[in-house]
Amino acid sequence: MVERSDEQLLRAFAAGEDAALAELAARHEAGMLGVARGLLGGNDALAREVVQEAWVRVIRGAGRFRADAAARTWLYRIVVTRCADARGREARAHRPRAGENGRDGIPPADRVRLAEALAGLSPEHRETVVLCYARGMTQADAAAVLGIPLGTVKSRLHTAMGRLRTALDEEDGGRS
Amino acid sequence: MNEQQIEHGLREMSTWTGDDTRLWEQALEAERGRMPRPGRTGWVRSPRMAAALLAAAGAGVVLMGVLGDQPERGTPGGAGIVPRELDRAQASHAGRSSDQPPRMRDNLSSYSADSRTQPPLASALVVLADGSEELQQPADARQIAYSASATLRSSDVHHAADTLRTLIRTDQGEYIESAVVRGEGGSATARVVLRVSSERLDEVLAAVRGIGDVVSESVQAEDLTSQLVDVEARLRNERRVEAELLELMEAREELDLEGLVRLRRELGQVRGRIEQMEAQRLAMARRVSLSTVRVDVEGRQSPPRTESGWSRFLRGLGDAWSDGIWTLAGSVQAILAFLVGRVIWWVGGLLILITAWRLWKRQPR
Repeated sequence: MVERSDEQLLRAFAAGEDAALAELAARHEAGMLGVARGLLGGNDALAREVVQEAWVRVIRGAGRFRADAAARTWLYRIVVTRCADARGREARAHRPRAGENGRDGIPPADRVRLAEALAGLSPEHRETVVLCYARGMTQADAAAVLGIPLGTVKSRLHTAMGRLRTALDEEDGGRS
Repeated sequence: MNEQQIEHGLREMSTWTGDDTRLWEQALEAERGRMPRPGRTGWVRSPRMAAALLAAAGAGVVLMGVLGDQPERGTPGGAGIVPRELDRAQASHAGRSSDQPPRMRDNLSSYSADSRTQPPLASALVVLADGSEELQQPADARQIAYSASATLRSSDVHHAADTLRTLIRTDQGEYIESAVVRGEGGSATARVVLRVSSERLDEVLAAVRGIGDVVSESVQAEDLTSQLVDVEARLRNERRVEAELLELMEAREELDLEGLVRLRRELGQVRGRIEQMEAQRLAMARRVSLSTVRVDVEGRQSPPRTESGWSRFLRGLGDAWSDGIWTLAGSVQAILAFLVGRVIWWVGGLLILITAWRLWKRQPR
């Protein structure tokens, strides 16, 4: 059986096929959660909330979706927008908290420092970095999601990485 | 941290390794309560069927443009077009016969007999045995908050304000939100704001009308259904997260001290959000179950002074001229309102008819 494209799945859902949304979610929900998690400083609970809100938007807008953008781009764009709203909403209550799931990799203390440095970036730079490092995303995908040229993504990424390094180095210097 | 560690950390931070969340399913479930099922309009796939429906809709829109009326909001009772159907609706709300003349022009643009007969209002908020309140709503009920305002003229403003205060029933949770009386005699004014059970709104408005001469009145409705559904969905999600965290707390022997502290902090934040959302939900439910009735009472000024015959004649002449000008202005306004106010209907109807015609022509013969 030929695998349907994301756009076909969206159209099928709009026509009443719930299984199509399930298939679309199986492809993208984890990625959407990853992006939300990155943009929200590792706050898993808030990331879940944001992605659920994003699905609500998708469900409401599926019938109006037009194939002038890839469905995947549209999904991630909704997540990025929702995250921007959620950050404003929750800024008073949360500090960055990377690594809630206690996964392997860099030490927890470094994860927290990195999350704090990421939170210190401007929203544009943070979105660019997170999208570019999200699983399965390319810089071109990030450009499509953010609606900016690829060159701008590269330039923002370069600047953002430089600022991240500087922030982390300053902290290292301050501690030593 | 070196470059490689930063990149690794960023990848890790932007990757979801948690459980299978199936958030799409929860979102779909939340949306089910509020939207028509997708695909149910599948039978309208034939262009001719669509054209016929559009043509009918267009004709309906044009007819509404011709016959319909959009009363002004809360304007004093003056000249204007009040269709008989509207009078009848007003009469049924006020508990009087439709043959009786209306005492005022009600603003019913967002207030219809059908919408008011729905039951969810007071039943939305249930007081439990322990004194707490819980929202109970049928899945398909609209949650509508009503607010009404009226301006009365009375010879005894103080007495009118006192009478207004007696309209509430405290045993039904009704209360006086504010009551202010200023001045004395004919120049006195009062403003009384009541919160009354939505089921009794008609009854209270009818009583308000009996307290003085009604200068203006309006009723507005706000649909809070979607906001309530949104809060419900988010609340369900947070409760699920809370349950998960509590499960983790039960297995705390496996956690180190840092993990335990983090878990407690997270649990506290989740509970904070739950309380916040429950408060939002209750506030909205209160707005649905208790309508706001704002009544302004103005005193009647003392009767005009005695005048000589000549000056009375001149004043009468001036009044007649002034009345004539106002009547002319009122008529011109009514004609303009009829023509301009319905432009949207004319244009809308025309567009629908053109679309229907094009769809009809597109059908292969």
